[in-house]
Amino acid sequence: MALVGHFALILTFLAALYGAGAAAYGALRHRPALVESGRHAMVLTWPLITVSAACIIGLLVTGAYQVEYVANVTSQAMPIYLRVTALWGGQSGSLVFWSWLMAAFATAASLRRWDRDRELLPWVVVVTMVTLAFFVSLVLFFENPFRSLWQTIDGAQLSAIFQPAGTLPLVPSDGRGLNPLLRHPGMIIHPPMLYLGFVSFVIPFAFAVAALVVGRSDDRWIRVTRRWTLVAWLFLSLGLILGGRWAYDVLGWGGYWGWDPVEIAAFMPWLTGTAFLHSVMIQEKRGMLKRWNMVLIILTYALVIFGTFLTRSGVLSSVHAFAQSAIGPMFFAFIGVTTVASLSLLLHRWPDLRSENQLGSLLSRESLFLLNNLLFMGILIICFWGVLFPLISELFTGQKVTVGPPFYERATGPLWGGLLLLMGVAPLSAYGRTSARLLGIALWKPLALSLLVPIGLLATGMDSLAAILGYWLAVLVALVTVHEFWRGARARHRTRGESLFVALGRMAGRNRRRYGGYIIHLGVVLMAFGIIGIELFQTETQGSLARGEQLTLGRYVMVYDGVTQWDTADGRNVTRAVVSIYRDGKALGALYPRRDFYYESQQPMTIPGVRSSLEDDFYVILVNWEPIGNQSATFKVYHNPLVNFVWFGGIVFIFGTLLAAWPEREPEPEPRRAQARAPAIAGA
Amino acid sequence: MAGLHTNSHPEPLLLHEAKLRGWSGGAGGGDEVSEGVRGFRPPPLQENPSPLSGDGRWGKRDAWRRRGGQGGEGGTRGAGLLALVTVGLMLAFSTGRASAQEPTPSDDEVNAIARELYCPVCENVPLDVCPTQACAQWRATIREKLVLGWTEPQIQDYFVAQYGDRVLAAPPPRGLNWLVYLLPPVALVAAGLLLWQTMRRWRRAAEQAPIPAAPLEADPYVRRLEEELKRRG
Repeated sequence: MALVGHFALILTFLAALYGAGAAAYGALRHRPALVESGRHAMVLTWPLITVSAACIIGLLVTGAYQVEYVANVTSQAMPIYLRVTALWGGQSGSLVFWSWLMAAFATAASLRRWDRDRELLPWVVVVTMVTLAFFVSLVLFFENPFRSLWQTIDGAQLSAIFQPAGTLPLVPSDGRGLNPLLRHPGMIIHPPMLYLGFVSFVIPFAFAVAALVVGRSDDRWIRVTRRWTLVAWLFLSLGLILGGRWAYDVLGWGGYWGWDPVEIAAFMPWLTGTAFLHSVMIQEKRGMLKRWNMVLIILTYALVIFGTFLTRSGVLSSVHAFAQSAIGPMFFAFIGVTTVASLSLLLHRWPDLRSENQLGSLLSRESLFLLNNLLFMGILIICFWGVLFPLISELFTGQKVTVGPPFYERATGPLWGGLLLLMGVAPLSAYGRTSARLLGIALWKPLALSLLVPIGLLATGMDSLAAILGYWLAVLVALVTVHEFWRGARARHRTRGESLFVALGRMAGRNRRRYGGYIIHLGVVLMAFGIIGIELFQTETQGSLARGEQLTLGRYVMVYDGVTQWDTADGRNVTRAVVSIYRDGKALGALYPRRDFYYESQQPMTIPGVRSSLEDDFYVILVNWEPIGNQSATFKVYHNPLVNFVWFGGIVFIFGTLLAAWPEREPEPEPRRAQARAPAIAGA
Repeated sequence: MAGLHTNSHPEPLLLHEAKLRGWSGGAGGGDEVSEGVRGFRPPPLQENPSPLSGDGRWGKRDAWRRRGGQGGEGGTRGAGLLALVTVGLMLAFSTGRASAQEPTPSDDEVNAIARELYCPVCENVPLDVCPTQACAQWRATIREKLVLGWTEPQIQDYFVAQYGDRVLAAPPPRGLNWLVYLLPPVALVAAGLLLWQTMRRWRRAAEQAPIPAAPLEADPYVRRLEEELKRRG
């Protein structure tokens, strides 16, 4: 099976190379037959790599431990579903999974739009197939999951596809098992979500490059890929939120986001993607920012590749790890070459991508979207620099430094505040010409109403300036957004006599992007409530308790009842404490914080006991225990105010994105506008 | 090792062995080995190993008192358990574990300092929540220093001297490290200026050659749509 998978992979690689070559040559020489052949090769890559991925899954499920990858990520004790998902449990498997998604998406993109965008598609084939060929080549030449283990006569172990001379097959009786941290349901879904988001972003990039190559200066590439972009963004957001939830449930440090380089690597394409989603609206509506949108999508692609590389390899932790890694330099070469190539294309087309419109006003929607982009770029710079700086420091001074959460929180905090302010103001500003007076008229009522929040908070004695500002801005956004819904629904209610409820539904259904976007904004507001709550008002305490003793934190009292320990069938040793929780003297029930120790990987996992309510979470971690004698145990407890708003907000956020990305039932008005404008551009 | 804690009736010898192994494993096994290893101990001395076999008493505040008063199970077994407890306590003290109920300084005081420190092994995990053995030792070091009356800056300086700047949550502002603080604001201001310049240029161009109406607004359909959108807000 390993050999079948290996050969399927080789064929995928060849098909991808041929597809890219044939499509490029056919497009340059105007040979439709060659382009068509290239497309066929592209469509072929998907079944081929599916065979390869299926072989890996087959090996994983049957426990073929002579295969190195299988031995590294699975073990006898693992259930079937974990063995299947172990496909993305290690680096080489996840590269295959990435490539599989790439092939599938490339095929899907070509099947849908082949007839309508004949001139763009050869180059879409080229870009997607070059990307696919790169990832498959990494798998083939550096990180091959089909390598088997062999043992030489003198006992040395090595791994190779084919049996090297003078060796015997080495078949371990059991594998090492998947990293226990990756066995949580959240972690099973989280990586595929991120990868779906990453790979979907390649499609808009491919269309952008195609538009640059053929010299189309209109927004066709944006319209064709709008849904791809939204879907990419949806999965990326979902991946990030699930990752946060996983960290909160499993990592046992009372938080959901630690500004870890791996987290930031997944976050950076989201930042540029979000900026892109906003600024393409300006290009669609006003024919402006064409160059900037190209820059953003090129940047997003580079960050997607960078993120894929960083999330799995961890080689950026030090210069030495990077130098020793075989695929690190490959990744950087690929990112460098693709970025330079696409930027040169952009420069080549620079004069063609002039703005069709001028800036009407500094307070227009366009200007505010530009400010939004500026803030997102600011956050991106901070994140990128924070990830990179430890390496630079190590390179030049030999001194390793840590750039930890305090740096990111302090640096990005004001920018997030600025984004909230823009979210409050921008929906009220008009495209084109608008004046401060008009904006002021629209804004003053929600602004005045929102001012009740800081006044109220000050009255309750809150002394955190950041929290007061944050909550004020969040409430302003909520008021403005809800008011937008109300205005639209009332207008329909008056003009068409629909009930307000029906009007609201129809209005959102007809303008999905607009109102989906507003729902996303409301999701962000909810998340902001939660984030400010836990970041600024989290409290914690730690103590060693004998059985029956108690620990007090704020209004909560925790009584330690006992600890038990047992072995499970799947190779864990579980130590579980029982604690009773009381709030204001009222019993709330028991919690079971525990520590699982995985024998095969010799790794512990700390699973907190959490008592959740809308208001707050009481989060208990078992730090240490003394099963003999008085059975004393050490607990760390956190009080996390409002943290559940982060998750509710996340759900609202995803719902809004789904609404915005959902296919329209009625024909959209916008393509007609695009057609109406196209001759105007051609004539200009 | 698995055999060490599969039975539910530990014998003193076994306990001793587990304890020692647990410790030696923790000390010698490097940083991968965590506190969890110290959990390699026989199951607790409870008649009923599952606290879940609930009769509702867990929710009651005084339940623990009743159980606390139960003591041994009676008979020779109770005596054995008592011996076990004694051995356990002795071991606990002999290995220097803080088994006192209220250590001075408190865990919270230690954590307040540990929160600002990062161990060189576990990337980006603050010391107060890091579950590894190495970090537990670091926390013990912090406690020792606090007992000696050291202040937080003194303890931080001590760790920096021992392990380098990387133990700090953010690079100390000196030398090359200034770059980490200066580059983002400088880049942001530069980008802001660039944007301002561009917007002013666009604005001037718009004033000099006022475009009567954007081409798209010439389209009656779009005009209607925009109006409708405007009406709807």
